[in-house]
Amino acid sequence: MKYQSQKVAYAYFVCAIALFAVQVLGGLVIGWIYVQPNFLAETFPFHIIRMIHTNALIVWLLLGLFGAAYFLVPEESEREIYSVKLAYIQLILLMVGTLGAVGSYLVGIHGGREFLEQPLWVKLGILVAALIFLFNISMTVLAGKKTAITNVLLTGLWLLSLLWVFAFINPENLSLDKMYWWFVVHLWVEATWELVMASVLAFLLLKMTGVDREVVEKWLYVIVATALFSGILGTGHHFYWIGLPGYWQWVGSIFSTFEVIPFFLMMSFAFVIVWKGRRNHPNKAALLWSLGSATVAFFGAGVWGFLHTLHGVNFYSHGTQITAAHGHLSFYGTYVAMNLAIITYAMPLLRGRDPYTQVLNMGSFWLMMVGMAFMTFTLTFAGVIQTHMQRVLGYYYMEVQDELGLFYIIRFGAGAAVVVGALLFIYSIMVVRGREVVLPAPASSQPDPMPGE
Amino acid sequence: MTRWGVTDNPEAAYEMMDGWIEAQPSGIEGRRQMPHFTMTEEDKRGLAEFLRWTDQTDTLGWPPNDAG
Repeated sequence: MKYQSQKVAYAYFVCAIALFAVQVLGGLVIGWIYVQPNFLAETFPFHIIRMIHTNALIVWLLLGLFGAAYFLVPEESEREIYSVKLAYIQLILLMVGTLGAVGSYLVGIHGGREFLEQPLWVKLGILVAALIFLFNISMTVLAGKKTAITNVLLTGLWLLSLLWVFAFINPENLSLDKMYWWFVVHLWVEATWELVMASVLAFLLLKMTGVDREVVEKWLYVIVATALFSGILGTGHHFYWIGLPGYWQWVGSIFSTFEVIPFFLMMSFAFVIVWKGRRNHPNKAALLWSLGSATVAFFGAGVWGFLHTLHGVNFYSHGTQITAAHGHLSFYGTYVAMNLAIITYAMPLLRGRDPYTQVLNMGSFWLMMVGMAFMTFTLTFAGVIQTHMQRVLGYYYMEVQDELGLFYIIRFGAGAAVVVGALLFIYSIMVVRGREVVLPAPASSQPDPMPGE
Repeated sequence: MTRWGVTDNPEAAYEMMDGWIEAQPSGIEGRRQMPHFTMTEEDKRGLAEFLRWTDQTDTLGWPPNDAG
C-alpha cells in the first residue's frame, strides 16, 4: 500500500464481504424452499428472501467495486484520494440504505419492480452516495495522473450512476416501464459494469505480471470498444416479448451474439498477459481468481448467454430455469469472482501482511467454482426439460415443477458447496493464521517456453 | 385471462378471479400453498382488470401455448 487513503478500501471490502455472506445464506434458504416449498412460508416467504438474495448481491458487488476504485485510483493517479471523509460518508449512506431496505423487506414494505424494490428513500440515498463517489474519485483522477485504466473505470462508473436515474422513472405504459427497467438492469451488467470489470482486471494483471502498461492498455481499449458496441444494442434481446416492435428480434439477436466477443477477449487477455509476464508474484491466490473470473465470465456470460439469446430459441426458453442457470454463472464469473480477485489481492496489502492463508483461499476458489459449475449444469438440464414440457408439450407450470424435484435437490447440494466455499473465503481473508506464503519457484535464468514450443 | 377465455368480458374475468382467490389455499400435497388473502370486491375487480389490460400487449405471439 503506497498511499494512506487507500485504507478506505478496507472498510468497503469488509462491508462487501459481510453482505456476500448474507447473499449466499439467503440463496441457501431459497434453494431449500425449491425442495421444501412450504419452508418458512409464513414468516419469511420466498419472494422476501429472494429480494434479499438479489439486492445483497448487487449492493455487495457495488461496494466491492467502489472499494476497488478507492484502492486502485490512488496508485494509478499517484496521489491521495481527494477526501477520505467523503468516502466514509458514502459508505455509511450505502450501509444505512441497505440495512433499511432489508429491514423494510422483512416487514413487507417493498416496491414491485424486480431488483429495484428498494423504498424511494433508499433509492435517493444510493443516488446521493453515487454522486459523492463520482465527485470524490473524479477530483482525485483530475488532479493526478490519467491512465487508460482510470479512464475506463471512470467512464464505467459515471455511466452506471447516470443509468440509475431510470430506477426513478416508472411510466404508466407497461411496455415502456419494462424498457426503462432494462436500461438499468441490462446496461449495468452487460455494458457499464463490464468496463469496471475490465479495468480492475487490467490493474490486477499489470501489478501481478509486470507486463508493459502499453500492452495492457491496448487490450483494454479493444475490450471496452467491443463491450459497448455489442452491449448497448444487445439490450434488444430483452425487448422480444414485452410489446415492442418486431425489429428488436433482429437487432437483439445480432448484437447480443457479439456480446460473446468482449468476454472471449477478457479471457484471452488474462491468459496472454500471464504467459507474457515474467514477474513471479507471491499472491498466487489473487492470480488464480483473476484467471478464474475471466474464464468463468466467458462461459457464464458469453456461452450461457448466447445459448438462449437468439429470438427463435428464446421464444421457447424464455423465463425458464435456463435463465436461472445463466444468471448464476454469469454473475458469479464476472462480478463476484472479479471482486474476490481484487479483495484477495488488496487485503494483504491493506493489512500490511504477506499474502496469508492462501492455500485456504485457493481451496475456497475451487469449492465455489465447482459448486457454481454444478449448479449451472443442473439448472440447465432442469431448464431444458422445463422448456420441452411447458413450451413444446404444453403442460402447465406447476405440473412441470413437480417433475423437476430431483434437479432442485442436486442444486441445493451444489449451492451448499458454494456457501461453504464462500465462508472459507471469508475466513481466509479475515482471520490471520500466522505467516503463510506460497513461495514462488526460483526465477529461471532462461526465458519461459512460449506456447507451442 | 386468455387461458380462461375472458379477455373481452370484465364480469366473467372478475368471477374467475374471485373464484381463484377464494379457493386458496389449494391444499394440493407437496406444493407451495398460496395464503388465503382477504380482499374486497373492488380489489379483486381491479386485479382482474389489470390482468385483462396487460393481456392486450402485443407480445408477437409469445408464449407459444396456453401453458404460458
